[in-house]
This record gives sequence, C-alpha cells and structure tokens, in this order.
Amino acid sequence: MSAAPKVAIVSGGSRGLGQSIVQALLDDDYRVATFSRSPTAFVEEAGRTVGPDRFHWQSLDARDTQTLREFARDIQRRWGGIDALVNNAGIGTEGLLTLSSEREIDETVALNLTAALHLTRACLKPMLAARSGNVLNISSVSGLRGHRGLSVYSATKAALDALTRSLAREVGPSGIRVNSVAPGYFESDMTAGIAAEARENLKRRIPLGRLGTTQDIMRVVRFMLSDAAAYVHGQVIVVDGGLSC
Amino acid sequence: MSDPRRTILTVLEEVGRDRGIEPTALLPQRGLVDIGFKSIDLARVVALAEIRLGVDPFETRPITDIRTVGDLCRVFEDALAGRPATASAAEGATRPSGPDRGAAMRRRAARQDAEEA
Repeated sequence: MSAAPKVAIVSGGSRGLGQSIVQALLDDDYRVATFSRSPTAFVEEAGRTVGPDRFHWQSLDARDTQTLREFARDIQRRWGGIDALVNNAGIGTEGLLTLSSEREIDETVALNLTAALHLTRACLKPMLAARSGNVLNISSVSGLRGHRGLSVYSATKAALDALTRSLAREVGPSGIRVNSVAPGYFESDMTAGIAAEARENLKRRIPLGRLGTTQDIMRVVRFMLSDAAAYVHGQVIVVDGGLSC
Repeated sequence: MSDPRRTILTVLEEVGRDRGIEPTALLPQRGLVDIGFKSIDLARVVALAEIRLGVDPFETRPITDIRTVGDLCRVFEDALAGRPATASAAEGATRPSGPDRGAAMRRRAARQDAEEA
C-alpha cells in the first residue's frame, strides 16, 4: 500500500514565490492548501487540473486570525494532518518610519508577522500530535541587514527569524523542524518597481551579478522541506547571490 | 461526542507513557507538572485533545491557568459546553503581568542559558 500524500499549507500561494512553491510541492506529490485574498489564473487552473483531493485554495484575509485558524483546522480534518507549513504571505512596505502611517505599520505587522504566528500555532497542533512536521518561514535578507526605508518590513522579517530560532528549541524535541529561508533581491512584484539604473547598481553589488529568480528561491525551499535537509534546524538560509557575504 | 474527561485521561495516559507516568497517578487533584509532565508534553496533550474533541479552549485563555488534571478536564468540558472558564480553573491564574512579566521572561531566558553553560 502506498503512503498517503504529505500535506502542506502555503500562505499566499496564488502568485509569485508562493505560486512557485505550491507548484513545486504539487510536483512532489504533496496535497497543497493555500489561500490569498483573491483568486489568480494559477489557482483557478490548479483547482481545475489538480482537483480538490490534492489542491485547495480559499479566499482569505490573513488579518482575520479566526478564519486563519479555521482554515488550518479544516485542512487537518479534510486531509488527516499537516506535514509542512510555509509561511510565505507578506507585503512589502517602504518609506521612512516617521512618514509611514500607523495603518501601514499595523497592516504590515498583521500580515507579515501576526498571521504567521497564528497560522503556525494552528498547524503545530497536528504536527505535535504526529510528532513530525516542517515549518518554513520565508523571511528576507532585509531582516538581517539594515535598509533605509524598510524599518517596518525589516522588523517583521527579523521577527520571523527570531520565531524560527525560539520555536526550533520548543518543538525540535517533538520531531518538528523549523527554519527560515531569507531571499535577497529576486525578480518579483516587490522588485518590479525598481528603476533600471538602480537595478544595474544593485546587480553590481551582488557577487553573482544578477537578481535572483523565484526558481532560485523555490529550489532552496524544496530542499529545506525535503528529507535531504533532515538535520537542518533552527537556521536562516540566506539566498541572495552573495549580497550579504 | 465522546466523554471529554475520558478523552483527556486517555490522552494523558498516552503521552505520559513516554515519561514513565503511571495511569494511577492521573488523579484530578494532582498537579500535571508534579506528576512528571514537561511543558512540551502538555503542548502535545492539548494538541491531541483539541483534535479529538474538536475544540480549542486556549484561543482565549492562557494554558498557564491549568495546574491539575482536573483543571485540564474542566477547561475542555467548559469549552465544549460553551461555558466561560469555571472559578476553580480561573483561580489558578497566577500569571505575572506588566513589568513582572518582563522580568519573568528574562529569568526564563537566563535559566535556559545557564543550563547550557
């Protein structure tokens, strides 16, 4: 008898890096549940072609923590457990802290950090019950270095890395691995607005001479979720082409 | 719905087995920590109980309110019945707040670092 497929929850899996992660996990025969505020062509297509037994997408505002908990609980009941969680959802906000509105600050913290805490709490229940699991936080190189105009965003990403380290201590003994992947600059909605000149300057500062791609990040995520990384725990894996070295 | 008290005791027995805890030790008045459960064991007990009973009593209250086997049973029974926390469980709350809580957190970190030194 073949083993039941593993179950993964990926927050914000409708586009960009989240979409690549969802696709990679589907390719690896996971059952994948994801959510975003609104549907995209990707999730509609996956819903049709993969089918409800292996793919689930839900419209969900991650600031609604009650709905977030119910989402995790529903997946646990539907598919019998949760093997992996990728906390990928987040928004990029920029601007000097003193010029940021309180609403922008609160929304960034709510989406990038509070939602991840609540979703992780909910997903850890079935992982603790099964004494096995994998939590991967998508943080950022901005959580490791200072960047003018990214105080709020950086603070949330550094907090995710702090969560990774402390949670690793808490749940490691229960067979649950916790790690972060910290991407540097990669081609995404968040870097699409960078002016051509600034982009060239940026490339010159990156030892590998280019911006990353979602595939570069996704491959590391895939490795971190695999048994090949079975002894990697409590770490922040930086994927930035050498920018921070 | 199964008897919540029976479910909690079954879960405590299952998790306690790994710590060598005898089922006869699971008396209502006995302290969970005194019996030998570690905090990570209690996290697993709560997770298993939540999955089996379909309710999470700790969405709105801290687990530090729970001291005894009886407290744990009662908090799940109350949540299933839609009742607010009962007095005996609520009275167990001795959680520090404000500056005291900050000091408690620093002590916890210091204890862990000292254990590793």
